[in-house]
Amino acid sequence: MPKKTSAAFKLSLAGDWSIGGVADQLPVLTHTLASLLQSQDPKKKHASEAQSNPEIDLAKVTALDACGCQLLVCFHRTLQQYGISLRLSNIPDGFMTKIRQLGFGRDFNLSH
Amino acid sequence: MNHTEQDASSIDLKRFNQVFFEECAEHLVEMERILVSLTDAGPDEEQLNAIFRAAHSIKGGAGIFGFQDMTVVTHVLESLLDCVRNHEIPFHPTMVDLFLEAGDVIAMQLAGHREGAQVSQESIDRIRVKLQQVIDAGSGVARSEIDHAAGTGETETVSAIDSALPPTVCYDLEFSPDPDIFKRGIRLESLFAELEELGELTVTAKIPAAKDFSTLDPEICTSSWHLTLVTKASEAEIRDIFEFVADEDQLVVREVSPEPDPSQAASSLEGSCDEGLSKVLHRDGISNADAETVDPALGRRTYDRNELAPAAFGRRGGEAESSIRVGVAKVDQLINQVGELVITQLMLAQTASNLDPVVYENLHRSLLQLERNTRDLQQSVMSIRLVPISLVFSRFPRMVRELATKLGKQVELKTVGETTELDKGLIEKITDPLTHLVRNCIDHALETPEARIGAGKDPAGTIILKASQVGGRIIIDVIDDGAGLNRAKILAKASERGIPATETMTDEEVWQLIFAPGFSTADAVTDISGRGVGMDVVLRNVQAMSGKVNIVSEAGKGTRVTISLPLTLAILDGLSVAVGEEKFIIPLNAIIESLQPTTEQLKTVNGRTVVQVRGDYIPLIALFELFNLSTPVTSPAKGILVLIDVEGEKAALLVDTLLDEHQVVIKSIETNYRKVPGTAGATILGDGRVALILDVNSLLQMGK
Repeated sequence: MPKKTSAAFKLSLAGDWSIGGVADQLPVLTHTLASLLQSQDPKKKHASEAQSNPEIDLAKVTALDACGCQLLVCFHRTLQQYGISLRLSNIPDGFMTKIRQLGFGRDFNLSH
Repeated sequence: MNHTEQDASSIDLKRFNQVFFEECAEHLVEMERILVSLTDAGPDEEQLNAIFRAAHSIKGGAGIFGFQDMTVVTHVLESLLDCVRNHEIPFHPTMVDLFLEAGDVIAMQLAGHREGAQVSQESIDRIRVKLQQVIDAGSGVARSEIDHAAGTGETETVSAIDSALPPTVCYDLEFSPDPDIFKRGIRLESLFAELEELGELTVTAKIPAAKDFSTLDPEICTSSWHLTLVTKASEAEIRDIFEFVADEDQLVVREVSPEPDPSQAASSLEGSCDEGLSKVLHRDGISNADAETVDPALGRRTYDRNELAPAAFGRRGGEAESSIRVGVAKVDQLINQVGELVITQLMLAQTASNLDPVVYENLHRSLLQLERNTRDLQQSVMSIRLVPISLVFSRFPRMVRELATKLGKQVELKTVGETTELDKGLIEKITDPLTHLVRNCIDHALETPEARIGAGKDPAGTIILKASQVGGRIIIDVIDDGAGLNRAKILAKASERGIPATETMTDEEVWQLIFAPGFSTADAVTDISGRGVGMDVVLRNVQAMSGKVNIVSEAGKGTRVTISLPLTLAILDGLSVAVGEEKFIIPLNAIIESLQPTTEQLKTVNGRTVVQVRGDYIPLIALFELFNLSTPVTSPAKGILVLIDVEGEKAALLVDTLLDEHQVVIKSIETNYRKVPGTAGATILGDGRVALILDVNSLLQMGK
């Protein structure tokens, strides 16, 4: 179950983020998006300092493929429109390679 | 995907196992065919690619269908083939044996999965180690050659190696896949990993500007990819990787720098290609931990997990299939039903024959049309079961190659008429007899190169396998240009074994002696032949198919063994005869003639009635006695004698009368009733009655 901490916004993702499970994961992101945007000034369309760089924790993600990467990038792009930039953390080694291999590394500013 | 869908998916994969088995077997045959056709000059690029593709497809298929054990050997085989085709390791003729051995091991694994046959793990480990050793040794040799050349200033050697390799090229690839590519289970990471094996690859995903996130369908692919590949591979090789994944218009490949300096290729990439490119992904740059978690590239079929998808495996919507696979049982069922239709048509024709042709003119015309259509339909359906004899012939190049090597002989195998088709059932049964004949040719008939040179012949002997269709029969010739059969030796051996033989026998009769059980003139018994088990088996097997074997041989020039087979086992040309109230069908190919004997022609020899026909005394077999039937025609002089000939042995069948010539559909009487001695089956005649089809071979035995 995704967890959010109040101090620095952190979303812990879990489970299957491949084609087999992305449909089930979408509501998690939709809900997060809504709560992130709710707390900011809609006119400014900019996030508060505390929420401008939320963290997505991938430690508990069991599967990730191009489909999951695409969803995360879309989520990221949507947030970017509001001045929010995601940061991936605790990326399992295999997933790090996979994200880069699939060409999504730049979207998450992953170091090489 | 929920559990139900997963279960369904697993069932689907099981359903397709059979497809994989058949495809895998075909790939192995193709691989073997190319390998045994290679000369010492080695394979050309096309042949190497074809062998590679076969190994690649087997590996991919095995991965998809969960036969991971089969990917072990194929993986290392594919790696070696890849090194050879990329000129990283030079081809050596001994590799052919290694590849063939690898193919054998894969075939053994296939048989293990398909038929539950025993699998030798030792063989798997052995071939895997051997292949890996060649890769390691080959790479070492290549490296040491370059190092040595560099160290001693022999730059021309390095240049020679460099110039022999294709130039390094930088390609820009734009890949815009189908929106349903994720749903098809295609694993893009495997696809890109395979590309990466061709050279230095950079990948950038391009995602269009975000729309309303809440309406996003995460399973639809909206991304496209820009890839840059610095490689010595050709555009065709790159496209080959996308073969079953992308349509022509979904992949754009552009050559951006024709021949960059390889040493600067990686750095030039940064400048020449899109500014947003990720850093170059070096194969060696992936940590061991990453390598463990990243699935190995299992070949292109691994990408396409959902085989039922319309676009799976490169299938495009609406694309016509050139062939379909249908189970033999379904074809047999169809043949059986058409057989019933033929019988029904015959019944109608018989009933209509009693009707006035003037009054019922239209009916008669329609029935004639029905007869034509039924025959056409029957022929079309029968042709479904026909398969090319190349399926049998294709096994011999390798066998000949191996036996010739073993025996120190030089043999050239030629095949003629490989497209000749015969019934699938016959194909399966003819394989063993042909194998015996070819082995005999190599072991006994063909001389050693020295002996051939001494006899003024080419040191390499020739074996010709020739198939052709003559009328309703298939003729298969096994021809060699060896020493020919030794008449004196055969007669001496026959006499030694107590087989009746005289010097006055014709050559044809003498050659027939070699079909006697246990007959062998070989001086030494080898593990190949010479035990006298073979030619009698050949004859028995061929006769079981209603076939004949004929031999023509000339001393010093060679031998021709001719096998004559019916086109199919499902229908038969026969003559219907009556005995009392019963009707029988005698196969037309066994009938020599029929006659009404005079009392002078009938004799008794050793208590048996014989009929004298042009000097020959032919034993008489009265069918009414054999089948215990009551008939007014018990005297041969009052009935008709049908003379039959089975492999030179003749007999006269006493019947009441001859009825008609038919093409009958053979039905198994054993399945529906029980085995009736002297019969080969039954058929249903136009009047609806069952007629037994006589087995002339067993009739002769019963007559004795």
